[in-house]
Amino acid sequence: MKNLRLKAARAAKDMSQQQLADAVGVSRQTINAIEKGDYNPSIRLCAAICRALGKTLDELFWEG
Amino acid sequence: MKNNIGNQSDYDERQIAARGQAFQLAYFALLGALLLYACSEGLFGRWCDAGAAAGLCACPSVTVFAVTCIWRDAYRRPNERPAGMIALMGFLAVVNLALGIVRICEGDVVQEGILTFFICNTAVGVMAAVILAAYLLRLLVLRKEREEE
Repeated sequence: MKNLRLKAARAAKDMSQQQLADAVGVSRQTINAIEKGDYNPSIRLCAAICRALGKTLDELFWEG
Repeated sequence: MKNNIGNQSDYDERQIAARGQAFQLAYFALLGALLLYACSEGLFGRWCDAGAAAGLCACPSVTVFAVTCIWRDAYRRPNERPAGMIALMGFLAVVNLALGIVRICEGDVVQEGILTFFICNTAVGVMAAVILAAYLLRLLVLRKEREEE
């Protein structure tokens, strides 16, 4: 399932996939795969993405 | 706590998982090639020497690993430039294909009806060319994907 909240949060910060990838230390394709729902990231990577975007885990990754 | 979860010189977690799957596929490709070689030798008798057999079985396995990694974007570390890889594969392909042609023309490849180790130049050349082609194709796909982003 696509993670549109991540994409929206990244766009709101005016960050490209490459910039977010550089900020968290992964490849751009990994960020792309997470946004497309092709890859399920570890909690560690989720937390790093949340810190980079100033969001909480609930806001970006929790599907209630 | 740092934002950055990994060293940029390392593969990231998705890449490590993808490379693991690629190793798995390459392992089965190697088993398949060895089985095919054993069956062919059983059916047709000895047709190549041990060195040639090792080379011919290893090349498909390495190709499967590399192409799988390339296609899953797990061949390059984050921020690693593609130029080095293109240069290396291009060099390997050109040198080995040239050597392979020379060996074939000199008649070293088949001696007394047996394929010799010299066939490995051609095999490595073809392997490097396939990997290079897959890499260039993937770069084109990624460029298109990036433009659409």
